[in-house]
Amino acid sequence: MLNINTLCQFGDFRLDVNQSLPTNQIIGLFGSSGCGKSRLIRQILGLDKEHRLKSQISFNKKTWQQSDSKLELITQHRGIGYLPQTIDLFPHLTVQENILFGWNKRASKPDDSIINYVIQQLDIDDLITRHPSELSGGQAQRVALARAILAASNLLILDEPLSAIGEDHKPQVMQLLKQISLKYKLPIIFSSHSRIEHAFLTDYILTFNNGKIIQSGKYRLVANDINAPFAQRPDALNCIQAKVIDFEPEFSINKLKTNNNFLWAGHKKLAKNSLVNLEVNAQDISISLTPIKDTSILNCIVSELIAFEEISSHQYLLKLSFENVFFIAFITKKSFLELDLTLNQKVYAMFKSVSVQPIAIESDSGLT
Amino acid sequence: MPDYSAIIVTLKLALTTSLILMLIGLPLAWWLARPSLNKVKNKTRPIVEAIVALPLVLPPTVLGFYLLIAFSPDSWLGATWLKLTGSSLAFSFSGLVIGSLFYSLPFVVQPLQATFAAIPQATLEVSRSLGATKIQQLKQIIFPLSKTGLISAFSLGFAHTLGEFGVVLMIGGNIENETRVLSIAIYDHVETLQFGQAHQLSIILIAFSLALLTILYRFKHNRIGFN
Repeated sequence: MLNINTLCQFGDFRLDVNQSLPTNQIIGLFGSSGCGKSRLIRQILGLDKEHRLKSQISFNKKTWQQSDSKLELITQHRGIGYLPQTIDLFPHLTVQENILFGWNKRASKPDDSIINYVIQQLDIDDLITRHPSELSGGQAQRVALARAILAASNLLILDEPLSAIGEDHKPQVMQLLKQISLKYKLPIIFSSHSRIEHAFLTDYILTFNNGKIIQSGKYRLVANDINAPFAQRPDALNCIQAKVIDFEPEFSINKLKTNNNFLWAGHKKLAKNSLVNLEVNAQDISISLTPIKDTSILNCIVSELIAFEEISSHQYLLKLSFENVFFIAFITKKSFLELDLTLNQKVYAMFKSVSVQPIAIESDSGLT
Repeated sequence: MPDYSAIIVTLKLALTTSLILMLIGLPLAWWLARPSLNKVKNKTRPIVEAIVALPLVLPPTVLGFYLLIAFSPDSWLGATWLKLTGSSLAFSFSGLVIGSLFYSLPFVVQPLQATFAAIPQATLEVSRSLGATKIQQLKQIIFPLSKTGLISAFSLGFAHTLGEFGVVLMIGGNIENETRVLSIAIYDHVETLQFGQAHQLSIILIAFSLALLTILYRFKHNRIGFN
């Protein structure tokens, strides 16, 4: 367990966190900019001492900091691999020297095959002799990520690790983090304000607002609770669990089944009969009162409107359900009024298969 | 024949001064350069900066005058020195070194301060989080990143001490092999109308200083593009 009980003052901003976190999972910190994610990360690192009013942190029963007794394990002895938001590669060292900076200082190391594995997975083999000034933003972030992973003997802390990484590399990078966490039993704490990144990575989520944690718990429980504020944000992501029935290679599309509905999701082949979470942005769901035949939209679920709410001058939030699956859709006020929607009405919820993001459920991640 | 003893005394003085100044200047410049939330430090920093910069604006004679008083056996410093070494500080090589330390201090501290201030706090924090001890940070991060500043500081301290005149005149006098530096020797030659000798030493000083500064600036320009 990572136990954190900290109270820090930064000018007008106060960070107030009292939380116990599991150390066998990926922990996601979620919240908008300036809500305290990075400040908390810096406390775990043992920085910003002068801002502490109280700060007690222990990692697997070992005290890292304790404000009263001044017993503090200094940052360099905590065994943390850290990727700052600002990346901060050492400009005078080559990519290779940067990557091995923390690795060379580690007291306990796994087999060094991990080095090549990380380098390959992050696609930095060709950059190894360059200097940081010769890298693009995304390349620099991948190098800094490799540096952090290889330095982490106890804990890996990543502040917005995917912010500069291009869409083409993101799935691979997220996969790597999952594998590292499982294979080396390495707890990871990462911050992001991207819902889809959390959907992919996070096992346990902390949701921040204004220096405080407003919601925490297993990601799936928090994300699927459509009554929680987290599920109702403008970037809300629905998660629908489904079973893979088949892959149609001529169209590069998967056919899936959830209860009695068939759904379609592209474009990479998923293992037959495996369970996946289908992530669908609430804004990508449209509503029809009658089934539409001549449409390019492949996914249609007959649902019941169980609640609605006017959330802004132009938008309505709809809570829908089918066979005990709950999800959220955002539609315009104009559509809502013109369709004349009423409670318990039967509606057809539709979404394009390209807006579905399938995420495989790993049997050993304890998410099922 | 150029006055070799003056050249040797000058080089010895410049080298000793700049080496000692690097030792004093490194921690001092680091202290001045790094940001802090400590109120006492933030209040004292401008005062210390002003003291360091003072030799840039004061006539060397003012510094020389007070040093001369401090060196006299009547003063605490002069008396202690006399007790410890058996010789007077005034009109000695050691006295010249002490004078030069004050006189060249800003030329060493200011480039160091600028170069240290340019190292991002985050870079140091990351290196610490990656397990670097204080010594490793110094060797692997701070010194390599400050290379240009370290070389500038040393060269400027050295070059500036080479050209010292006013302070030496006040506290060093004109003792051959002890305190007779190039600038004094030139002054002497001019006074006694030995223009040939004065030319020789002057040209040596100009050539040497020019070469030193050219190397320094070439190095500086080569390092741009590094970031």
